[in-house]
Amino acid sequence: PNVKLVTSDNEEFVVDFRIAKMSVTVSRLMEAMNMSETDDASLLSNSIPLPNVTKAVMARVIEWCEKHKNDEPKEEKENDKRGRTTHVVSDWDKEFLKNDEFGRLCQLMGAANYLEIKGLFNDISQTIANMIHGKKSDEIAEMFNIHCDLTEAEKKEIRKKTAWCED
Amino acid sequence: MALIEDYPDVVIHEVAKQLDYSTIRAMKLVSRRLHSALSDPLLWIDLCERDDRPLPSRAFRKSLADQAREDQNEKMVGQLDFERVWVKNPFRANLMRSPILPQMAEMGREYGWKFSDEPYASMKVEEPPQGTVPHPDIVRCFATSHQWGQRCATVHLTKEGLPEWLLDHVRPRIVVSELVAPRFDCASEYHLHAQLLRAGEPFDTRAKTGNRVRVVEKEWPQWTNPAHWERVETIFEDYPAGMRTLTVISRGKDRQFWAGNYGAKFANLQVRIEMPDEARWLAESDFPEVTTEYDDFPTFITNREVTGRPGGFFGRFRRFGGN
Repeated sequence: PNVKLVTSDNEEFVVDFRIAKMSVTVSRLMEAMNMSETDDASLLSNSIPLPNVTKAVMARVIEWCEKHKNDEPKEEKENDKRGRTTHVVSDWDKEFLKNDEFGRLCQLMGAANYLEIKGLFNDISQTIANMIHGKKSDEIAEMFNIHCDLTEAEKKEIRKKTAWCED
Repeated sequence: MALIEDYPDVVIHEVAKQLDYSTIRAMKLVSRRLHSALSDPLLWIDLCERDDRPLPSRAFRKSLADQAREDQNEKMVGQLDFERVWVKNPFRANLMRSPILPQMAEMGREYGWKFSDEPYASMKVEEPPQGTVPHPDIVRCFATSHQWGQRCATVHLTKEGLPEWLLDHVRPRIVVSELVAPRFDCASEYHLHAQLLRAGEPFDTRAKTGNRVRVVEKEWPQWTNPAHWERVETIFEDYPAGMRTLTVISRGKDRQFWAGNYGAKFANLQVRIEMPDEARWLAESDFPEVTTEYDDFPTFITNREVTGRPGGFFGRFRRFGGN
């Protein structure tokens, strides 16, 4: 059975029910709208509005979901002695995200967060973190395309508040 | 939705959780929005929990909050900065550097430890310890000789992440301990001298008592067999306000003047902060300095680097060199 998803720019995506269920947000919406896998009429007559996701981003999300639809619900690996869970980005996912520019990655991450697709969200947040790791604040501002609204005095104050880390 | 700034805090937090502190600190300087998202205590509490940072008990945090609110004069007081706790981990099991390394010079460089003599003729690092019952936690130890061999180690409490207000108003117990043992076949002795010091204040090798001075002395006869490791522990509590560093001198020697390393052994020096469940809020004048008593003669060789300048706790002008 298929489910219709409608993006903010009014594009309709028809996806498999299982794909739709990968998003916790969509699942919840379907439940609220009394849509069920066994009730074709309920699926045909309804479409799910996703006002926070654009067509371009939705296409990428669905591509990722198609690839991962048969994944076992996996436990995050506990490596690291301290019990820290580390998310490992698979090779396919690395390849998948490789060509997205930084701004697009951020959009994807926002969508993954809104749609509550944990695996995709972890992949992207890890990828973004890797990209900004070790960068200085002006480099990070440039990557995120953020205009810094802090005054020099405020910056100084912030640095002062965390000056203990230089001890 | 193009800017990360438009996302909920949790998105920014998730990225931050994958980063080291210097990058997070850089992110805080990017914009007001990122700064406020990354200053959220919830993020730092999450990270502390994820990375097993020991925290004061909930009961303590609650009672602290109740009391701190009454203190209107000082800011940033009575509030645990979880960001700093995550980075510095001040409530960890041991604030002392460890483990004992194979070379003394290396520990001098890496840990800032000072030893009584160079080129370390009178004591050495032993791996494994000789002439004692093995201890599961000890890989290496210091083994002293026929003249006093000593190691001087300093912890800068505030640099390790303990806030000044905590040291001054709460004054948690500070527990110093070390594992010590004799050789079974030779009489020996061991001393631990620990002192809480103000910023920049030198260690006073002659101080014997006082509420920021601790001295523990041990002696073993020959044929202490089996020669077991035992834990020597001393606790600072109700010390004066203003303490910023803790210096510990451990030293040992044999009592038969034998060639070789037949003196007392020590290992696994540990310093930990013991947080109470109930926060007390002391005034500066509470637990004032108790007059320090002095030995008439220096009881052991003085490490010139420790007493870098003449003087004592009360500015007594006394200078003495090594013997």
